[in-house]
Amino acid sequence: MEDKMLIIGIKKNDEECFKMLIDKYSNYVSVIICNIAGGTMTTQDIEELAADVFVAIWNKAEKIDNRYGNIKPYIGAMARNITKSRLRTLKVLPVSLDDDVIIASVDDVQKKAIESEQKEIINQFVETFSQLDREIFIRYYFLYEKIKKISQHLNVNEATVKTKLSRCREKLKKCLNERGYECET
Amino acid sequence: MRLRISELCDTLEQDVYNEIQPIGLDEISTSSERIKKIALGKLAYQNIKVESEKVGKLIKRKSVRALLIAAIVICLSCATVFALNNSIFFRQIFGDDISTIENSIQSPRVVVHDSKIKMSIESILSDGYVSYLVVSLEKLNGDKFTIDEKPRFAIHEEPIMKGSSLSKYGTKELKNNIEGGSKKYYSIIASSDTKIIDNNISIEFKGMYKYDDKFGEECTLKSSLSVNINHTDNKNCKYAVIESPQKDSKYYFTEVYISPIGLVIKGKENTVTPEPLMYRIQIKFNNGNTEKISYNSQSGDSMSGSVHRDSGTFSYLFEFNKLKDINEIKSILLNNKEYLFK
Repeated sequence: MEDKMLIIGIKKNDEECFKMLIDKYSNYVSVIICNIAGGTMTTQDIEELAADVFVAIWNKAEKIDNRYGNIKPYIGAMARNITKSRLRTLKVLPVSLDDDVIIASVDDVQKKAIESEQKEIINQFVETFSQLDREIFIRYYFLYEKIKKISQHLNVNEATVKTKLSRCREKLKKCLNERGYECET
Repeated sequence: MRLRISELCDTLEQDVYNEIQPIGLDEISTSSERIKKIALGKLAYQNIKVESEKVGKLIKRKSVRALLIAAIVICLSCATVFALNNSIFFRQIFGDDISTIENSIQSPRVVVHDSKIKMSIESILSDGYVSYLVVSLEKLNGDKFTIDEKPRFAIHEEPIMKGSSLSKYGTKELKNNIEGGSKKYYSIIASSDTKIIDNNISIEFKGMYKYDDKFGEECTLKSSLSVNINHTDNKNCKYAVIESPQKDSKYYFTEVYISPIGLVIKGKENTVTPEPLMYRIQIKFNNGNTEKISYNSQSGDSMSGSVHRDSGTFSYLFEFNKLKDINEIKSILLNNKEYLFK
């Protein structure tokens, strides 16, 4: 069933649509959880958390914009947020990404300023990338995929993936510096 | 406070990552069926809580108890319960083939806890006379249970009925490879010679105890948690056709009831005597075979149960060790007289 019909069904509390949604996206959600949690969760933990993601989608169905025919990005974002939130509750860190820290020290005022611009900053920034660079960046920093897996999947050697990520970071630092934020060197 | 690139990515536009499929989608070992069951169970529990709040059910503290007590009374009659994967425990109780009861297992997933321990009613199988409950206990500090720690449970019928003979016996630890040592599963068998249909069963956990040869019994974890569960009727059963009672005989039968897990024979004595009433009970199958029913552990499928004789009424209750397929059972022979099941 198309996503648009699933969204409409879930908004009407149709359990069959809910089950179909889970059938369609359970693997997608599970992989995202697995990547973010690293090796800290068992299969049962991942299934439990995946169920939480789908229940959250059910509970927030009213807020889903069904003008879009595709619910996958919404599910992905929900899975990411719930996993990170659960790991915070358990006082477990998500899998550590190399050079993830872009600004070493941000005071509350700066943090608020960045938050208000964050969406604009990151989306405009990513738009400037080539397709390959964008995919590598998103796989690494959004989907938490490992460099080795990214290189195998894209048929690019690991050194190239690392170089591209490094260049992306430098570009992002330059972008933040231009907006007045002091970044890690 | 640090700013991470991965945090900045929290607000990426959907279009940016929509087309990117995560790697390893086909290799993930999670099961969509299990995720569905868990999610539907959570939704059902959510609905139970909403309904409880609507009818004004509250979390109660019983001030008369010594330690922190949480008693949650939840009415399940308005909720949909989903059968979770608790068949593994009933296979430990009855053996691999549980096809005759699988649809009868209820999974209320009711939970109570205090500061030290959490008790969950994982699943129930009941025919109204015999009830099997799977209960889990979890130490909230993550400590493991020791091998010699045993739980104490008490079971009551709520509200307490005159003549109620609900009794508990046979608490048994179930093997569990899922959790670590801080969570244990137990089966509790409760039986009553009065059919429990609309009342609740109250299960009380009284703490963990261990016995030491030198020091005697020691309480290792004091607690008192109780929870009521709705004890709904099980439709997987048959009644025998009893003709008009033969009131000129010493005794007569008023009810004969069979389910995959037990048999109940009730009757009245015209002349109260100390002599045993039942000397031969057999069930007869559609294929003509018969099986003896007895409390005698020497014979065939040994059974446990109870006999009550009081003021001219009697009841014989048998719990089967092996499940019976009631669709294969045609009749019962009581002292050589055949009564057909309908």
